[in-house]
Amino acid sequence: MGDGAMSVVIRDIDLSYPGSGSRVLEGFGMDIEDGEIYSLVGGSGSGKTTVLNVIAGFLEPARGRIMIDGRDVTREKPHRRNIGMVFQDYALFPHMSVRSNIAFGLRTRNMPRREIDRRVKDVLELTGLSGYESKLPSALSGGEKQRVALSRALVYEPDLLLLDEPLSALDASLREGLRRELRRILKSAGTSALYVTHDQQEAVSISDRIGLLMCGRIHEEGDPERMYWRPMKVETARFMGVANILKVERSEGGFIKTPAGRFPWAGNTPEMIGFRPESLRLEGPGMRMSCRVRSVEYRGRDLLLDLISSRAGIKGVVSGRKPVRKGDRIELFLDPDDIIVLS
Amino acid sequence: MSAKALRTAGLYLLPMVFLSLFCLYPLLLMAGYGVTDDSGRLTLKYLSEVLHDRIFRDVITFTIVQAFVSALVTVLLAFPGAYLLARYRFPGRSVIMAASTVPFVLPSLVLAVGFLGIFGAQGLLNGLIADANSYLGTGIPEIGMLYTKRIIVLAHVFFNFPIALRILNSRFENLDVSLENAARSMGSGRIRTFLQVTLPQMRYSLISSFSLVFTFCMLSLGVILVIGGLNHTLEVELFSLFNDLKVHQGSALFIIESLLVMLATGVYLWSSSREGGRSEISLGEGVGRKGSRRSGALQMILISLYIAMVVLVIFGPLIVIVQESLASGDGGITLAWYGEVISRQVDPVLSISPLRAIINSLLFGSLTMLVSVPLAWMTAHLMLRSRFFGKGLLDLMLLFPLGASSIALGYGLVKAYSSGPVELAGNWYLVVLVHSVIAYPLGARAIHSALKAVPENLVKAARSMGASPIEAYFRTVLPLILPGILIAAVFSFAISLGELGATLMVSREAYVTMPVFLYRMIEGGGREIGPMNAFAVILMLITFLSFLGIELGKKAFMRWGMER
Amino acid sequence: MSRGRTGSISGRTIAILVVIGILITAWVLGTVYILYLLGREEEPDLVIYTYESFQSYGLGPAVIPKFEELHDVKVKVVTPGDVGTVLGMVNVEKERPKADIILGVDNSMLFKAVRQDLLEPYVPVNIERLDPTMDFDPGHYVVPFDYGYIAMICNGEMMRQRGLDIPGDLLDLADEEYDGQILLLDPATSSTGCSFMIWAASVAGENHSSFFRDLADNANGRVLGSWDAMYDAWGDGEAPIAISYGLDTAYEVMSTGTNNTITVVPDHQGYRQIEGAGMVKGAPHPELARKFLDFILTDEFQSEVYNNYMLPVVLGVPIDPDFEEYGESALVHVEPTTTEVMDNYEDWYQAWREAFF
Repeated sequence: MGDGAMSVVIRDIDLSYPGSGSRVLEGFGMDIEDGEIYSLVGGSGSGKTTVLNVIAGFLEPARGRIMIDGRDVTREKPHRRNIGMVFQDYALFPHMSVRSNIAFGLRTRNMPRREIDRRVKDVLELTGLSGYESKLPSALSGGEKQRVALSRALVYEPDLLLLDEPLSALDASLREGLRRELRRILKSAGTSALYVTHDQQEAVSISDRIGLLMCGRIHEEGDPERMYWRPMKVETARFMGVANILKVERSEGGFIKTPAGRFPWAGNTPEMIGFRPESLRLEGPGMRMSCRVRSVEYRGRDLLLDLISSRAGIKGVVSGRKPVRKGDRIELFLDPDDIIVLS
Repeated sequence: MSAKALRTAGLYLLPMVFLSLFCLYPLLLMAGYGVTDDSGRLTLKYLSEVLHDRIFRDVITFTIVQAFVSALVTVLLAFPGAYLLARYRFPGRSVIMAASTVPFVLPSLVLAVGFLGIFGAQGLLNGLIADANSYLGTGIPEIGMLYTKRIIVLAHVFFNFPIALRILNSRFENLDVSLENAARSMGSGRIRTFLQVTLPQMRYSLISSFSLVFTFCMLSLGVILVIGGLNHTLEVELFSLFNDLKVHQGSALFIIESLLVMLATGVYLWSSSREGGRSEISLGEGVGRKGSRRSGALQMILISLYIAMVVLVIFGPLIVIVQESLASGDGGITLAWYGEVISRQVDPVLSISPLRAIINSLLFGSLTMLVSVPLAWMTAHLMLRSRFFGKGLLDLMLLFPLGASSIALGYGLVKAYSSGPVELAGNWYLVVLVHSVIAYPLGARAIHSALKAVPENLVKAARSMGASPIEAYFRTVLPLILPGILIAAVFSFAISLGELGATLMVSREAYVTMPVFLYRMIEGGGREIGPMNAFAVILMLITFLSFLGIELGKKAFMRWGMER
Repeated sequence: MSRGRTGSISGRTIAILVVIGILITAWVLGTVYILYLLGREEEPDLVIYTYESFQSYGLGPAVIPKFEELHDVKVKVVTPGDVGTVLGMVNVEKERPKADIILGVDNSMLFKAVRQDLLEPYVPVNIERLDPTMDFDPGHYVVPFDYGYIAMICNGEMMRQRGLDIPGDLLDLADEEYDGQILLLDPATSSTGCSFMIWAASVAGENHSSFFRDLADNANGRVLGSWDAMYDAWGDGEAPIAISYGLDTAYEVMSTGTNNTITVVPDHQGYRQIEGAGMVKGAPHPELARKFLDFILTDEFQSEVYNNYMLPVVLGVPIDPDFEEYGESALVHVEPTTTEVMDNYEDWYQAWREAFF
């Protein structure tokens, strides 16, 4: 993997909830480099939050090892792990002012008052919350609350920051702005972070690396660009928004045949292929596909098309400038380079 | 065993052991007397005897009927009030809200004294009638409400009206108004919308408030003892049977009573869970925050009438008590009765001085608080856990003190602990114990609902920031549940201060409490109106002051718990 | 950077905890100490459980100091309520009795105490002083200390106004003439009522059920729970006839000087309520308890029973002349023995309840 020093090393974690017996994590392992923002994605119930709770020490794994900054913390109590946590519901202390919320982690470290004041001031500047010191959480907006939560977790310079879907309680427009903001803050603080989300867009825009959690372990990981354009596994592709996944039926002389038609192909015959809806274009160059339009969803900037090509339904996203109507027969073009080989 | 497991076990065991020893065991003991004979053999003799006896059957029927009628009237009266409070903004709203807490905290005997003052032969109403008759020459007959079935219903309505009001009001406020608006927009009329959209949404709240009030009316004692005359309910019948040494018959009746109450409690639990536990009696928060609509002229008239009725019904008896406590023989105003109550020496009949009864009640109240609040606190945490072995059992056991006959509980405790290594019977700690048993499930509920509102992640957040478990708890959870704890405390105090049935059974002369003393002032020969009312006012004042004190304390605590 | 030592409890939290802890401890200790102080009293040498009017009418305050002085002891008198309550209390304390003496168990109630095995038999040394006709308890569970006739009392003025005849026979109360004119007592809650029920049952014999029904018709719901309440209601003119005691005329003459009460004790149907005191089984102070039972039949005690508006059970004790003059008595007595009461009480009471409820 990377060349940086490892901030977090996790190996062979087994965990099952008491009573249920079913394993939530099985042989789970991952690494996070120093200063890296790692996004853990996965469907609901895949155990993302469980991973956070194991790393934070709220759940004790039956087996395995967790190292943070070279320390083995597997049996360490949560409050001695020097981590920070940011929650979806902010979990701000409602009876404490912004300043007290942020100072909490400094006070537990018995820091001198002057040092506390200085650090609170610094972090508030970093998160753009100067002037909010004596407000109570109930007086803040959702975005402000999440900044406080972030400041609170960063101020004592934890070895690792755990973020559990921190933006999902915010509305869409706010979320996008805060994404960039969050990355900026994390990067300037230089903290390693494990970011849990179910939103692939968020994962792609915020992180240095993305890992898909499935069946209790990391199914596939990689940098955002590769995970977005070149996932290797079907499940990853599906999760990352590769809506068109086709089974290869057979190959014959430079072509492979799928339910959606024939594609030119060189090299080994893959099991499955896929392409993103936005890889389809209304104009060439590229390989031509003849489709019938089943339905059109006008989305302003672009159109979401539900199409039939040969025997298979496929999805396309094309520029909204050219009129496409339901029932039309249209021709679409696909760059063969955009075809993803899946297994 | 790990420290955590030990802690869990302790948390689990202490409330369970407490409840088992001082609630379950005595009650089972009493039930046992109902199905065994003197030599300890199992028999259904007493149950069948009791069920075949016409008079006992009448008592059972009357108990059910009065509870049914009381609950029905209560709910019907509270329903419009709950609606008005939820939907309209009008002057006097806060007065109603404040007034509705009064019966919650009023010891039942104080009300009984008030009713004696209003409806008695020489009471307020008959005095007015006599005046009218002599000045206006009308021939209105005297009213003999006292000792009738109607007055029992009236008293029960008085006590339970606020409970029903609160349950229904909180449901009305949580009601999805958009459904009504949708129905109206589809052309449904006001009445039709109400009947077909609003009412169906209220049905579980109606059932749960009805069944809760029904349960309370099944088990009420003090009022019926004093103003119910010969109309015995099961609880009164138990009292006289146990006093008459008819333990087996009494216990058989107790079994029947318990089955009936369990049924009603079951309905309550079912209906309140159907509506998502929203009708848990919200003891702490005042109801009525919204109140959106402005009111028109017609509404104003209706509302005024309603306020007048509520205020009259609630404050009438209290005003009469105060008035009678201040009335001198010649029509003037005097504080002499208070002086007499405070300074009166040990009464040869009542064995102790009134002042001693006051001191006793204050001491027992504060001790009850100290026993029941920690237990309630632990239990609230237990209740929060979604599942653990014996959770069902705990839930059930927590219901027992609420739904058990206080007479049987008191008598069972005395029976259970008058022998053996630790002698509890006749000692002051039995009084404290029985008060704690009765008070603490309510306290546990209050703390539990405060605890439920604490976001789960707060402790995790504190821990991740480096706080040890204890510090995390004390700095995040505790400040937030403090109001709940204070509510539990004040309710324990108030329950201890007002409890009559079980205390009658367990308290001995030197440890008589204020309600028992008041009961004997009322029932003993040569009833003295002045001192009796003065004593009732003192009991009432102490209760109110404790609530006021806690309210102020809560504010102070909240400020203190705040970290700026 | 800093991986500061985390997890130690902050000074503020410790301070708060300590203060709260001290406050609560002080509170508990203070409360318990006050209770201890209040509960600390002179250990009595003898404990008597009795009904309330024993103390409030003045018999207790008259005789107890005499006994205390006589033996130089401290007596504690506990009045939990009426006699029924007293028995109930002794019953729950059976395993570890606190009382030495139950005072006030009359001939209508004794069977309950005997049936529950609450009393220890004792024959006082001066038993020969007891008027032999008062010896209703062959088992010697109690020593009689006073007695009074159960009587019908009539409000003379009202009887004249309403043109009612003075009943001469207990069974007359069943006459339609007295419809709505009678106040009765609930035998379950009033010992006077209990005595009256037994009296009525004894007089009516086989026909007690129908007699009870007629009584219930005539009482027309006017059945009260306690003698006090009934006497007040009778005094207020609620009804002209009520159930009370043979000394009521004397009481009225002595207390108000008027004479409106007509007390009726039919000569051939006398029923005496005889009150006794007995020693509790397992009494903590048996010696002194026996001495107290001996004391009951002495002149010192018997000369004071008029305080209770009752008569002495020892012949030759001087009686107030007003009692002599206005008190009513009978020649023939119909009181059943304790055994008879025990055998029949449940039937009678059942018949009474059937008639009245």
